[in-house]
Amino acid sequence: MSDTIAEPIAAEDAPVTEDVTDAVAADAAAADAATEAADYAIEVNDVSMIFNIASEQLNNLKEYFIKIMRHELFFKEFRALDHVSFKVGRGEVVGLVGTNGSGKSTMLKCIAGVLEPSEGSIVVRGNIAPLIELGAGFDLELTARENIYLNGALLGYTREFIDEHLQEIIDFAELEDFMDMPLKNYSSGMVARIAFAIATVTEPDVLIVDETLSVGDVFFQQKCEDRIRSFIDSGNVTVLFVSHSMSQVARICDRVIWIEKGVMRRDGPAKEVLGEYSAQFDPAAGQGGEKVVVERLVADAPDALLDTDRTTGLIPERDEAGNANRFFVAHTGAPIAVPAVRYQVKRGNAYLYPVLDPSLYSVVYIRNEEGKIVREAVDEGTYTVEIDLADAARTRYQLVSTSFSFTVRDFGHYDDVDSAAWYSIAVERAYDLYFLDDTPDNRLRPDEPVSRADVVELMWRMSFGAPEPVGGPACSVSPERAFTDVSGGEPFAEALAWALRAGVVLAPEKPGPFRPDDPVTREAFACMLARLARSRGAYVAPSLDALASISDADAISGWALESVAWAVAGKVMGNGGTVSSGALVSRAEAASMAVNYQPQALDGHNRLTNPR
Amino acid sequence: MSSTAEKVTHVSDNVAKDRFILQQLVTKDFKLRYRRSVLGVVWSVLNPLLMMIIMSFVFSYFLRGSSVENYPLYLIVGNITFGLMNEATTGGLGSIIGAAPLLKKVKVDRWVFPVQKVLSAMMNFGFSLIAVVVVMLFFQVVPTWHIVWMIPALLLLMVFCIGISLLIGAAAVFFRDMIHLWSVAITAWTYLTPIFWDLSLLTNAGAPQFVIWVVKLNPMYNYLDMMRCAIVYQASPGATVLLLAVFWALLALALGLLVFRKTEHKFILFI
Repeated sequence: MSDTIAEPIAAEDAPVTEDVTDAVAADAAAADAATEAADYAIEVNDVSMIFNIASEQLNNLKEYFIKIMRHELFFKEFRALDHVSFKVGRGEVVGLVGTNGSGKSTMLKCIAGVLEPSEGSIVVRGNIAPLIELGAGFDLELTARENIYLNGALLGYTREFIDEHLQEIIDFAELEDFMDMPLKNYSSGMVARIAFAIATVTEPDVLIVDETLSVGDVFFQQKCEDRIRSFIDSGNVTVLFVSHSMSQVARICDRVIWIEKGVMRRDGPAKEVLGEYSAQFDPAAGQGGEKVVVERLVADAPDALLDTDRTTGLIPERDEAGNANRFFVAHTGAPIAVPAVRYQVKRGNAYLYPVLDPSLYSVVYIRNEEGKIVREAVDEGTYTVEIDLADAARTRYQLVSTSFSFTVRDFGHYDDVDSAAWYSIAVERAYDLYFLDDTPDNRLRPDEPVSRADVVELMWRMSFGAPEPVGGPACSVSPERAFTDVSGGEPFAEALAWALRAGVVLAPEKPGPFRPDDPVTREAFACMLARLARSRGAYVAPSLDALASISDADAISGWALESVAWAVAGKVMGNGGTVSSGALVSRAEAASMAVNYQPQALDGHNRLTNPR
Repeated sequence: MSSTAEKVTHVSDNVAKDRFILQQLVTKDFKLRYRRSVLGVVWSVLNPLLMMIIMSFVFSYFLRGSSVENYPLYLIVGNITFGLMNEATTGGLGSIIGAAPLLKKVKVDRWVFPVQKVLSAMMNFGFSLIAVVVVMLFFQVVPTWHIVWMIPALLLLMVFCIGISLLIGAAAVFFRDMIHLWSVAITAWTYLTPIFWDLSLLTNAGAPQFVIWVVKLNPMYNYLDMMRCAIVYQASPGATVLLLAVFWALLALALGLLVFRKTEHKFILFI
């Protein structure tokens, strides 16, 4: 109302919102009436709120007198509320819905006592916790602690009560370290947290919530919702809830009052009223479920938007690699860019981040199977995504509410790797270091012997990101030329080509078999690992004394002696006092030795030791 | 509320609530006033002292012919008392407009804002009194029992200021011109009130009777006179002065309350 002047047609005996908690009369008749009436926490009796709207704002006497003299002061009567009546029982949870400018906020302000109705009366029994605008009454120059007292005073708390519950408020707001910092240095989310914490530190008789839950980050929203929920569950608190999010209203409220253009349209069970309310946004859809809204939007969207998931109404934006990492919400006309959902696939883990964009009134929730809001969908399970969206003007799409679910399966852990097994940490590390890859059936088969092809691939992966072999390639023969049983099309062919270049696998004098499926002995593995080290220039010639601590050193083949000694000195093998040089290497052992070779990979953990 | 029924969470009534709010608002004003100032509250003492030194340097010669004995003390008492009224009413003037963010969102009794400004001014005045003590020590003025006259004087002045603050605070909501008007009014009032001059100057100069009457009827003359009786003259104030002080306080309060009550329901639409 920046360019208008509003003057209420306030009757001289303007009814005032009363607090009648203590006003229970002593005499019997009045007491009877009082107990009957006391069942209602809020009584709105035929309330009208009338504003006079003049064509311009008059802020000084001169203008005012000139206008009066010229009889130019014409007022237009505007009824923000028109004979609204309803009663809310003690412990009831009532939602208030209506489009913008319908009078919801005026109604709430009247009930909270900020505005006084022009006609009719409002009775509220008990203390009110108004969460109408979080942070009202805060002074930005004061510290959070000082503001808690100031705000507490405005809420009608006693000083002793605040003293007693100060820590509780701080804890809930999670702002322990910032209590003596002026509020102006706070983010708006932090201010909202404090405000919410103060207002709800004790169970109020009447709680008025106006869209405050869309303030702050998702976790705090969840925390707020939990607290409100606990009030609701207690059955003592009367809740009046206003939100643009119909899913939120539906979740919380049993009864809904629908106000439109200042007139009460409907008052009834939440489902019925919300159904009718949402139907108005889509006359064609009739009984409007939330999905209907989305489907209509998609259907009206231009051809370019046809790459839309019809069940979700989300259009993924794909990068060059084809990964959807941003979504648009389809609607008529140009898509509203909602960087609301970021979909990221990270090594088999699906991350779905909600990103709140305040300018778009979009709120994205990811709920896990228990219905809790989570920030990232990382753990395995099925998640539901809810998106509430209103456009910037908040007029055309009052609310688009949609939900879809997706499942996250964690490929990072092999199904057959028992977390108690000695190699489980090594396998996990090896996976994280890219040494191991996903397998088609998600099984590692840890106890099976590792094949020559597997070892080549493992070492190839171990050298990812490393420069080409020091001193140039050891051999420039391609695998299919060097080996009679390799065609070059095998999955391991690329790795083998690298192994030849790096000298990890030595090409035979004249073409011979590679025998990719043959197992590998521990001493052979040590040789290959030593060659890998050489190719990186990281090989340090060992002293054979390193083998002195190994009880079965006699069994090591002569050709492998130096490599095994190197491996023992580097604590890759033989940490248990034996090397079992002739034994076959299992897949788990291969992973473990690969990780041992990269001690930094263990982040200071102890080296892993095969018990044998 | 079974769990909290035994414990007192909320104040018992509006009076207690408003008292706590007033206390918090006054504390807030006080904290913000001196936040980040090196000398802090010392300024409340220093300010009137410096003012007194400068003014007495000039005016003590100019006022040779008057009957004032201890001019510096006379001056500082007048200055801080008038300053109290000035600060209280100027604060009260913008109090409702300034509390707009609060009034639009929180249910709170509106009168606390003008009253708070007056209380804050009273608190500052308390510190200024230290300056008076310093001057009295310097000139070795020993107070007599008449010093207790200060209490009714300050109480009456407080009531007067509350009345004026309610009146102009409400008026400023509807006509912002009040803000400019009041600064002019205060300036005029400063000259009309014998702060640095003495009434004997007027009578000695043979001023017309009505001018003297205007000065004597001036509410601030009466409050200043009461304060000076208590501190400077060390005598009881005259009956006329006393009656006029009471009269003006009650009139201002009645008028302020009347206008405030009549208009407070409309505040929210204009702020």
